[in-house]
Amino acid sequence: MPDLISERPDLIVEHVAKQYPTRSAPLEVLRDVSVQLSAGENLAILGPSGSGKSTLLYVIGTLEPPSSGSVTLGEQNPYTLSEPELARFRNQHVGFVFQDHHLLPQLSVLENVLVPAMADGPVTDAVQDRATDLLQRVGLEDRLDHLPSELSGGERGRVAVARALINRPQLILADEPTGNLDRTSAASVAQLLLQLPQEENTMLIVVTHSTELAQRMQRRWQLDNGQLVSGE
Amino acid sequence: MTFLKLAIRSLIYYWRIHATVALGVAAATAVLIGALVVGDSVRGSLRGMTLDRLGRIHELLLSDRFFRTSLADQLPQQAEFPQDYQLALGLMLFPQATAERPGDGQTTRATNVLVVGSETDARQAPQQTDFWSLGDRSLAPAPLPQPGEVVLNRRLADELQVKVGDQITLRLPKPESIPADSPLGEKTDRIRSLPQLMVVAIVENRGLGRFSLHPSQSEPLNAFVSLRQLQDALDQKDRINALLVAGPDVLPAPADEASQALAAALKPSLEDLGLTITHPRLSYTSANGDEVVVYDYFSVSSDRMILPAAVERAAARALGPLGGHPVLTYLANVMEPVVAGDSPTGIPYSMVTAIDPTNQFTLLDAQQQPIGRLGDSEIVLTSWAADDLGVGPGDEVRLTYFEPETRGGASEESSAVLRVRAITPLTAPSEPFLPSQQHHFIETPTLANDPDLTPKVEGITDQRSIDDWEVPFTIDYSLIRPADDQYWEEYATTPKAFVSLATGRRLWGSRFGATTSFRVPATGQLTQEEVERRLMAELLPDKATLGFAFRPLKRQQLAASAGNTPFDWLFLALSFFVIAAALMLVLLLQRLGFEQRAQQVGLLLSVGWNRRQVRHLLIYEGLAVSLIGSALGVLIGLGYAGLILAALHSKAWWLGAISTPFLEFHWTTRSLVMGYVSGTVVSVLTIAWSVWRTRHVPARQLLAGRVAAAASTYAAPARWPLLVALLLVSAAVGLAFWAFGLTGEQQAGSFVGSGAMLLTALLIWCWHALRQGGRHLAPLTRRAPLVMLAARSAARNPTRSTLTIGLIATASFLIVAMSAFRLKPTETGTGGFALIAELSQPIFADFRRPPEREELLGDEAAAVLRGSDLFTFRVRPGDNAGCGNLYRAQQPRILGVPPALVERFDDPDAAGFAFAAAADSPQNSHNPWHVLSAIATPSGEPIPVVLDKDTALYSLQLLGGIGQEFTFVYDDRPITFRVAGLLALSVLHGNLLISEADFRQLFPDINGYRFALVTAPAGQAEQVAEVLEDRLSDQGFDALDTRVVLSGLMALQNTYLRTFQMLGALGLLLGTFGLAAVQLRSVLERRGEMGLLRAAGFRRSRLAQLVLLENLFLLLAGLAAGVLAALAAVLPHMFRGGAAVPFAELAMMLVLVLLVGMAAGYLASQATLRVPVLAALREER
Repeated sequence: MPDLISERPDLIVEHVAKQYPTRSAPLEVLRDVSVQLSAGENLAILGPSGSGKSTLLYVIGTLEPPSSGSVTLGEQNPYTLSEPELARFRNQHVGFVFQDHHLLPQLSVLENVLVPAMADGPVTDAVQDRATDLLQRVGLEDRLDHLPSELSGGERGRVAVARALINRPQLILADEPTGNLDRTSAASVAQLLLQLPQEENTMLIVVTHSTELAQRMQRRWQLDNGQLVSGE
Repeated sequence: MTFLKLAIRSLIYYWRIHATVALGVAAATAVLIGALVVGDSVRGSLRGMTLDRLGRIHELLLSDRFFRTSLADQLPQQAEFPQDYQLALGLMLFPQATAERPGDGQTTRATNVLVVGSETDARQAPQQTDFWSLGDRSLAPAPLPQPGEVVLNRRLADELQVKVGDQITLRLPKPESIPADSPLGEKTDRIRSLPQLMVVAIVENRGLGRFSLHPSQSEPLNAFVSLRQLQDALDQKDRINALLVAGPDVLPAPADEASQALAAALKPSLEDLGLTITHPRLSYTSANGDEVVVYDYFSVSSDRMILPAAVERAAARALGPLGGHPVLTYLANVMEPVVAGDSPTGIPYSMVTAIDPTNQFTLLDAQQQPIGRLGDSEIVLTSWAADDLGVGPGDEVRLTYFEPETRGGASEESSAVLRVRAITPLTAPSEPFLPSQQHHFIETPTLANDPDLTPKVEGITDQRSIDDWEVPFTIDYSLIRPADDQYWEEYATTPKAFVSLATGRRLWGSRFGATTSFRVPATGQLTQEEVERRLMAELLPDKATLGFAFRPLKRQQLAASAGNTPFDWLFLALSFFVIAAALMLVLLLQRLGFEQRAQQVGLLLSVGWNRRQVRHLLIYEGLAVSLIGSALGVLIGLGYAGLILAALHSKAWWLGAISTPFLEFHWTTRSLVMGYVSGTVVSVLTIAWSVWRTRHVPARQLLAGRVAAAASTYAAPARWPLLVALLLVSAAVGLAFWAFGLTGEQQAGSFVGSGAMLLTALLIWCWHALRQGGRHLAPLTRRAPLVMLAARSAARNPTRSTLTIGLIATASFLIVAMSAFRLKPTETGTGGFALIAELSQPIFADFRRPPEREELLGDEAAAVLRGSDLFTFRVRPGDNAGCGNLYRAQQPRILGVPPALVERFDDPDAAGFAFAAAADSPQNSHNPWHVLSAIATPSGEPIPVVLDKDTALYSLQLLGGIGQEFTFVYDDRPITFRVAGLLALSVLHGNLLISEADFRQLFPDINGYRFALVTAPAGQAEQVAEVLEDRLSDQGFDALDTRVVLSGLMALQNTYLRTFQMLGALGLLLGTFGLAAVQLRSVLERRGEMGLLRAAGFRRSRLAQLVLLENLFLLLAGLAAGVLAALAAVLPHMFRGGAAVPFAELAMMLVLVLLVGMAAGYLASQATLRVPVLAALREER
């Protein structure tokens, strides 16, 4: 079983398995997966459709508990927390970037970035300043009041990256972040995705089909039929 | 796997969503069933009450004259008596009696009491044929009342506050034959009292205990006495005035043919009709011993002095060919010569006969020459009169006489100047006149020597001296000379002068008739029997107009029990919101179910099903769901109807308006089937429509689980919506200002219109703000970001959100704004009158004139009445056609509007009744009451009528407005009316108002006034009422405060509005569940967003809060917009005094809606917790 071992792992995924019950035998989506990652490191997970990439991402992102095994992020196993604590943990420690970006169409660019900050109460000026700063860093400082419908695909991706970073998470999880983008936009988003976490000393795990993006990452893993089958 | 099997499996698999749709269908069906069953219950209860109070009684004959008891016995013996009936019972009925309980200082009185005088002597009437045997015998009182006793029904006992053993007095109309409105008619002493009757039993208001002649759900006031007691008190031995004809069973009510046969079987005698045939004959034995017949004829006369027109016509037909001819004899108060200078004394109180010459009646002049036909201004004096007046042919004499019809109870004198054409000899009798003996003459008498030309009038013609006359007018005894007394003694009623029939009828003809007797020469073999036979042959077909008409009481009242209001349709209309809300719920739930199955539908399409097949699958499932839901709805609907009936039974709700608890639960198979089928069909159509709307969603999108289009983008700011909103606000303000100049419902309608404009403006503004994304309204950087986020989420689909807000706003607007139509008493509703009064017995005097007041009421009472005015109306009793009577009026009560009332409203400053509409003509432009002409309508033309708008629309279903003609049958005679004026709601509600001139022409036999409107100085109404009730207690004067009466009338309209509001609120409650369904649907559409929020660290409870807040935002926005606009509509009207707004009730309603809405929203928010939002994050796109 291949392992990725760093010096000071901040993320430790140990022997994670995920099964879904069916009428016949349980469907095994992940089998004995273990991953370790340290601050500032990034990792690409590749694999064919249905290999369990996204499931692994959600298990790490505290959105889906594993059937067995454990996840430790910042010395905390989030799955031992209650639902409200888990949500707060996720809010503070994990940022997500999705293929569809999932921007709220009724909110402006700035407001979309602020959404994670609103999970626990009013938005402070400091958070608002950080959002503005992040948007400046992704090159959207002149689009703060625009609605998602007024943005290009690449711009939406950049907003999603900024949003993922708003709460200074330890870990960013990106699910096919460039999957729906043209080459130029994809490159731009990929650049930001690699650059900003690096600047924020944040771990990054990207699930992608894009070998081009994977090549730019520090580590690459192949997931096939629920198992990590190769890595660099 | 077959198509059907797939549908069944789908039904079972998606049972949860199907169950919710079925509940929606059940709600819609339940409301339909509920409304229909309420209609069944009202009709069934009215019908049940009719059968209960009439028992086996099918037909009623109530005559205005007394007739032989034996007529009742003879009726079933007639060959024509139909087998549908079993027996006829003779009795006395007085529908307008007064009952009093003398108390210590205060008398308790009940008016409009129905007194039933029936045989209670078992020897005379075995139990099988007495009054109580016509109903449920077990409910008969024990003991039956004997002379000196009375039995009361519970309602009357309660009204009089008496118990068994107490004593009461009954006051009844005294039998009078001469019409009271004629100068010789008695006007004051018309009441016969039955004092100190001991109450021996009190019967419950059930069975014949609530026997009533009129269909009404109100319990009648009934008193039962023995027939013999009434016959003795009224001096009508062996006489009755009513017949009840009963069948073997309560039902069926015999058909019209049976009624006609019954009418044919009724054969009143000449005596029953009040007619008499006499045989005046005067012969003289000449000096040579021969008998010379001076006159020999048969005379038909009436106990009412004047022959009714129908009798005169029948006599003309029957006896005209035998040489019969009419005679009219009238009393001239003074007959005097017309000379210059001092007026000489004339002859007082003379009979003048109007008659035309015939072969058998030819007056001769002094020269024994036939005088011939008289001209219009000519008169023939008898020699006695000519000598007394000192006039001869060519001279003029003046006749002074009373007008044939009194005005306001007073006899008014008129006079006519006629030229003396000739003098006819009058032979002096040899002995004073004795009524029972023939006149004796020494010299040859003449045709003029005929006292029988004058009809018999009790109290006058039977008196031996003028001094003994019993007349209702004041005799000026100073005019009576010894010669006049002597004439009366010798000649008695022998006329002193003759005029032509045309002249007589011109001067003395009236609505009562224009013939006092019909004279037939006794020629040949003609006998009195033959005259009677011929006359009766012509009279019997016309007997109905002489007061011998049967009323098919059972049939009429059963027809009336169909109700004046179709309650099923009324409640369907009132339940409009509930039905609409339930169907909306069905639509939304169905749509929700579809969205949950979108992928399955997409799959079916992708594997080769065509859309029609898919639609059929879903519609078949919908049909099954509807059938099950409707079946459930039938059961729920029966319970719902029970709840409505319970509410209607509540005094606070409906009972206050209709006064009597009578509703019982009734249902018909027809209603259940109708409700079930309607509920199913409407639901299936709704489901089909919901499915049909998804026909354009691409299969690929369905496969992705999406039904709706992708999120909308926000429109660029546009000014036009704001401009339109501003225009609407301006128009609303303008309309409101204009409305200040209006009154009543027009004002309320205008204010509601203004509010509706404001509501539209608010919704446009709302839509505009949402289209902007709501960014300016709810920036997330402020406090409470979740609230702001909810508000912004509501703006995500501005059109859907505006529609949702609009639906709630419109419903709450209508519910609140309808309060503007809640009425409270106004000056126009009372017409400016303080009191409205009804009388058991008519009054005749004109109490508007102070002399009459002082004379008839006393100085003290007249002083109290100073400053008050009293307008009296003639009354044709009938059914209350008001909305308060749930029975459909078969013969609405008619009031004759006095000319004085019409004149009163000529004064523009006088307070008056408000007209909703009136026929257009120059003379009524300033006073619509002039649509009632002062001159009687020509025969054959429809009678102009004024009636209350609501009476016309709802009770009589006259939807044609002004000009519409309609016909009702009174006394077996159809009368056609034409709507000439429609009053706004007023104390005159429920009556047909015609001019007094028309009234007198239509109902000549109805004398006096039995309805009054009274003005009173401010603060003195109570005092005025007390005085009038005290002084006119014999007539049963019963006065009510007009504002109290009006409030009672308004209570009904307010009750319906209240029901509408309550059912509207119920609809709104269901609507809030619809709103929750919309929210859930919205969550499903936004699963990705929700997933993102979860991923971003939003707790599930925060997501639920977000959905709840979003729901609350829409709910509050809708309620706020609706209530705000409604208040703008209601408050000005309320401040103008036109509306009585139940703020507390409305606030409670809306708070309840809010609470239930929040609860429904909470359920929706909890449901979001179960939506697999995370899956949406990983869907392959």
